[in-house]
Formats: sequence, C-alpha cells, structure tokens
Amino acid sequence: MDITPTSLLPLISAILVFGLGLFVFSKNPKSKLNIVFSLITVTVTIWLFGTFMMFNSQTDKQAIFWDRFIYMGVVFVPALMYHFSIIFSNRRGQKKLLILSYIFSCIFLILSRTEYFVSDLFKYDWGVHTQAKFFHHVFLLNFFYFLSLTLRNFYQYYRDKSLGGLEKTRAKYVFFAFFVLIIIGSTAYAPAYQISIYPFSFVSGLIFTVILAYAILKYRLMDIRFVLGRGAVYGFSLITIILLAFLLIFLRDQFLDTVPLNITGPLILIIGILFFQPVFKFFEKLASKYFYYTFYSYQTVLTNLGKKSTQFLDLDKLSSLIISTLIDTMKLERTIIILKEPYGGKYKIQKNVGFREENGISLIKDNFLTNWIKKNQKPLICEELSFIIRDTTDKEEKEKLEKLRENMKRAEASLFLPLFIEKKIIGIIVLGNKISGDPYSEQDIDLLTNLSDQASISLQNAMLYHKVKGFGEKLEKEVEKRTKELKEAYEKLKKLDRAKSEFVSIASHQLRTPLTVIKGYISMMLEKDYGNPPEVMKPPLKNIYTSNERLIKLVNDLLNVSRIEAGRIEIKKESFSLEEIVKSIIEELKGLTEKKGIYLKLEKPRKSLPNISADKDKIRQAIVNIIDNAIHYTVKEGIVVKIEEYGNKLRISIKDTGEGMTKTELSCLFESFSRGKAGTKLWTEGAGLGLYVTKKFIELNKGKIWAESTGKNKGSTFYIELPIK
Amino acid sequence: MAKKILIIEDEKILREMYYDKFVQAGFDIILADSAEEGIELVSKVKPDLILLDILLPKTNGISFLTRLRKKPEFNSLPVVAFSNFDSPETKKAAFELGVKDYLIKTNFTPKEIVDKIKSYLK
Repeated sequence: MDITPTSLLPLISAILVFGLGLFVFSKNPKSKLNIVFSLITVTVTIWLFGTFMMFNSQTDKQAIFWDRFIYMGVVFVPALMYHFSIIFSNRRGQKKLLILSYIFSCIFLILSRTEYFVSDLFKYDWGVHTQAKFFHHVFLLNFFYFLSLTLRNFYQYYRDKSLGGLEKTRAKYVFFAFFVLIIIGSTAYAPAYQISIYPFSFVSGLIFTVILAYAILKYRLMDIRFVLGRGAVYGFSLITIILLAFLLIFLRDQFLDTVPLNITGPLILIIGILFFQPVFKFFEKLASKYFYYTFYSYQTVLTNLGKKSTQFLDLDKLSSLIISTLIDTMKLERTIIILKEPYGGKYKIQKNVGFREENGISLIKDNFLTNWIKKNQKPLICEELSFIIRDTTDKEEKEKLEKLRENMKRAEASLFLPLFIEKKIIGIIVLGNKISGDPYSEQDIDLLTNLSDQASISLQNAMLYHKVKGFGEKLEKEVEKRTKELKEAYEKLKKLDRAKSEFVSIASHQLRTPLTVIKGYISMMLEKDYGNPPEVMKPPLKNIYTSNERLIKLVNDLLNVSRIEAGRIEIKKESFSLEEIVKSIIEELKGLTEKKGIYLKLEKPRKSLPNISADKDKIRQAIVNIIDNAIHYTVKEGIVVKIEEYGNKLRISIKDTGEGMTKTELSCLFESFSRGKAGTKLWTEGAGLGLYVTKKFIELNKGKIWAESTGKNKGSTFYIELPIK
Repeated sequence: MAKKILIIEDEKILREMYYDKFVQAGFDIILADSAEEGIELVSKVKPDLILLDILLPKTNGISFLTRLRKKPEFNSLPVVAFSNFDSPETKKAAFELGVKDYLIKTNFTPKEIVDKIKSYLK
C-alpha cells in the first residue's frame, strides 16, 4: 500500500467525523436529532473510510469492493438527511414518505451488492473509479428527490416567521452545510459517469459534519456572514501568497536557476510569510468594507465608549451614553440599565429606552436570576435558556429557569448583561431583541462583556459621585429648609411680639382712664373738694392714692417697654443742665425720704459742670427711676448723688446704703421682668420694668448705665454716664 | 369775669370730675362730648381756652384741631391737649397744630391740670 499525505486525508477526516458523531451523541443520547446526526456521521465515516481504502487499492477487484463498501453508507444518506430535516424543522405528516425512504435505502443496499449498481472501472490520471450501472441511475433519482425534500423542509423552516433569531441562524448553518454537501459532495458521482473530477469531494463530508455539529451543540452561533467573510479573507490571502510563491519560483527558474533550490526555497518561504500579514490585512479591510461592512468594529466601539465615559461623572448622562452606544452598535429595539444602589441598596431603573417600566423591575426582582448571574459570572441570553434548561438535571432549577424564560419572553428581554465590580453585581443591563431579529452572536457577547466591564467601572464611579453629590445637595436642602423654618418662626415671633406690644399699648390706654378717675377723685377728696373728710379716712385715702400712683407708674413702664421694643421711641435733643435736673428731682422726692427717715443729698461738684445735649424728659425719668429705686431699698442712712466730669462725659453716681446685690442679681439687673432679690421682699409692687426702661432711655441717649455692689447689706451704687455733646 | 373753658371729653365720669374741679376753681365751663359738638360750641360760646381730649369717637382731637385752625378767628385760641393716648406721632401732630401742652391725664391730678390751665391763661 502506497500511503501519501493526500491519501491519508480521507482517513483523518473519517476519524474526525466519527469522533464528532460520538461526541454529539454522548451530549444528549435521548435527542432524536442527535441520534440521526450520529447516524449520518456513520454514513459519512463509511464514505470517507471507503474512499481512503479505494485510493489505496492495489487491484481492480479491491477498488470495486471498497466502492461498494462506500455505498453501504451512501444508500442511507437520502433517508437520514430527510429524517434529519423533519426533526430539525419540526415537520409533521411526512412519516409515510420517511418510511418509504428507508425502505428504498434498504432496497438500494441490497442492489448495491450486485453488478447492476456499480461494476467495471474507469481509468483516470488520478486513479480508477467504478462505472455507474442502471440501478445507480435510479438511486441518483432517489437521492436527489429526497435531498430536494430535505432542502424544502429547511427552507420552509427558515421562512417561518415565528422563529427566534437563534433558530434562524441555526437554520442558515444547516442550510449552508447541506448546500456544501450537495455542491461539492455530488461531484463524487461524476467519475462514475466517465467525468474526470479529482475526488476531493470527501472534504465536503468533513465540512458538512463540522458545521452541523457546531449548529447542534453550540448555544450561541457565530454570525455566518462573519464566518464566511473571515473564511474568504483567509482563502484569498492564502491564494495570493501561493500565487506570489509561484511567481517567485517562476522568476527563479528564469533568472537564478544556477542558485540551488535549498537557498532560494527558504527565501521564497520567508517572503511568503512576511507578506501574509499585510495581504491578510488588506483583504480584511476590503471585506469589512464590502462584505461584512455592517459589522461594528470592536475596538472602535470600546475605545469611543471609554473615551466618552471619562467625560461624564453625571450618572444620567453616562447611562444615556451607554444605552445609545448599545443601541447604535447592536441595533436594538430596547435597552434598560438597572442599577443597584451602593451599599446593599435596592435595584432601581437608571435609564430605560423602550421597555415598559414595570417589566424592567419585575425581571430584576427575580432573586433566582441575580443568583444565577452571580454564580455563572456571565451574561444570560434568553434563547440559550432552552439549552441550559435541557442540560440542567436539577428539577427545581429547571422549573425556575423555565419560569425565567417565560418572564423574559413576556418582558421582551433577550439578554441580561451583568455589571460586575470585583465579582459583585452593581447592576444589570437588559437588552431587547435586535431590530433585525438576528440572535446575539459570539462576537456580540464578546463585545458586550468587554463593554460591560468598562461600563461597570464608569457607572460605579458615577454612582458614588452621585451619592456624595446627592448627600451634599441633601445637606444643603436640609439647611435651607431649616433656615426657612427658623425664618418663618422668627417672622411669626416678630408678629406675635408686635401683637403683644400692640396689646400692651391698647390695654394700657384702657387702664389709664379708670386710673385717672381714681387719682382725680382721691386727690380732690384729700383737697377737701367734697368737704373735709374725717381724720380716720385720710390715711386710707392716701394709701389708695399711693397704690394708684404705683399702678400708673407700672402702666407707664409697660407702655414704654412696648414702645421701646417696637422701636417707637423718639429722642428730642436739647441742651440742659444735668445738675439742675438732679436738684429738681431731689426736691421732688425729698418728701419720700423724709417720711422714711433717710437722707438724700447731692454732693456739690468741685467745679461747674457743662450742659449736656440729650432728651431731657427721658434723662429725668431715668434718674427719677434710679433714685426712687434707691429710696425704696434703703431703710437706714441714705443716698448720696454725685455728678462728675470724665473727659467728654458726665457721670452721675447714686450711692445708697440699702440691701446691696449679689453678682447674679447684678448680672440681670437691667433685664425686663427681673427684680433684685431684695425687691421681692421689700418692694413687691414693682414689676421690675423700671430699670429696663431706664437703661433703654439712657442708651437711646448714647449713654451707659451700670450698678456696683460689694455684696449683701453693703449698699449699691448706680452709675449713669452721658456724653456731653 | 370768669374765664370760659370748653372741655371736650367723651368719657362721662372724667367730664363730671373735671367739671367739678374747674367750677370750684372759679371757671366758666362748657362741656362737649364729641369733636362735632365742640366745633359747634366753639363758634357759639367763644371760649378762652379749650381742653381737648385726643381719642374721641368719630372725629378725633387732631382732626378737630385741624378744622379749628382753619377758622381765622380761632387760629391762635389756646388749646391744651389732654389724653391718655400719647403716641409720639400724635403728640407731634398736636404740637404742630399749636397746642400749648400735651398732658397725660393719669400723670396729673385735676388740681395740677387747673394750675397748668391757669398758667396758660395768664
């Protein structure tokens, strides 16, 4: 036996095909499709092995034997293919025809053993081949008849509108496989009819089997245009390089035949290798332009997205960018980005194009889905779910997967693209169908996976930024809100305060009238306008009068306070002698001190004092208040008033020998409604408004008032300082 | 001859009280309980001085003064305002309309008021 590499090729193919058949069968021994496919591989194996043996036959007899051996398989080809097409395309009502085809196959099996099928030999340059006899002609009719039925089945299946994108692609592959087999494989019959064609057709058996196995086994299929395009690019590149090599050999023969081949040969080889890459690139460019120009360029898409995504930190803009990139590249109907809020948050729709909102979230609510994705760390494609379900043994998981598939179909979602950061899901991009109806190819998934990696990082950054920014904004809003609340509360208080002042003012005016009446009549009684009152009545009348005076003072203080607080006090400046004012006050209050048996005196200033410019009435009232106070708190000794000049100020000091004050009492002396502790004991009538009003009156005249006391029972000194001008 | 004083005061008790005091002090007193009545009486009795309350029903003391000062014969008639209402604005307006004084009723006994009036009539 003379075995050459060329003659070995059928043997290697036979082994490959047989192995593939076994493999497909073992994958799912229950599947009818897989069984029929495996049987087809058996026939192809017989064909290829027979071819190998026929090529290596030494005698005519042997050649005829091995050719007849080939027909042992070939006779079943029409029936098996037809059977395959029926299963593949879910045809019904072709059972009788199928049985008939198997009966025919059996008949032809018997006939193929006779002289009337093949016998004798044609001699060709490349070898020998048997001659086709009568029954062979009949067999060919049978062969092409069932083959045409097979192709019709595939075609009708392909045109079925309800077909999913993946099934369509699968149909394309199968169609393509059969097409190869018919076009190339049929040439194998030619030598039997005295047509000299080198029997390379066995290659079609190999190609056919590989394509079919691929279509059956793979969940996801490469775009066939892409495959063909790639194949063409390789083919053309190879042919070009071979032509180049032939050209170089031709040139060598012409001009360099003196140089031995073992020098020029390797040179040509090196040139060929060096040229392959540029030539390949050239064809690839050509192909991408004219052949599969609709294909996206991976690198461009990713680079563009990467470049653009760094421009946005804004989550919304970034999501829009990712969505538009996806839709433009994949030509999608709908896409939605669902993100998980950072730190174990909920899933939330970030950006949605085309999906119904409720569908988007209902998909994600499925814990099973997220767990599946987390476990498998890869995208989930709706169409592949059928295969995943088929290959899942766990019953519970199977049910859940089926439910998921239904959900996806209902929501019109065809692909879940998870966004991972350190294997944790930060979100999911759900993609709808392609507008073309094409399934997601291997290249698509590659691109999408790469894209999702990039998008994950950008989205994560944006989410964190968004969160920080949102926090800042929230804080700002909160502060704004609080400020507004405070402002409102302040306005409300101000209003209340105004109302209070108003109330005090009106109430005071109303109080004043009866007070006037009491004051008037009592004074008139004491003045004997209504006859001389009995002596015993005089002290009570005086007491009523004094009490009434207190009330009047209180009302006056209240009015002053309300006016001060409402800012309705006016200052009328005039020039006057402070000394004169103090003198007149002392004169006025002398009566009181004499009654209490204490003294009240003005220490004569060492030098004459200048006049001051201030509101005379208010200054007077302030000094009256202080001295009046001192008189009330002093029970022995008395009060000394002093006026001194200090720079451009005059200072009045009113020093008493009264109760004195503690530090605490001093600290809140001039606040409204506070009274000295002594006051609570000795002077319960006062409301403590006097000192507050006094302070305000002094301050309105740009003066200062304060008090000093060395402690309890040590008396106190009040100071009033007023600017001269 | 006793001086004629027109007292315009809406509060009845106060009217009676001041009447008592002023009559006792030897004044000829005419009483009015509103600005409208006061205006009427001014032309009729031609008082030597008017004691004018400021917070009056319908027409207040300031309006009364404004009307009064429009009549040339009363342009310089002495008026003393007395009221328990003493907002700085009202006080200012009264002085601008030529009142001799603005007395806060509670701060003076009737006698003190009589004394003040006497001093203004000198």
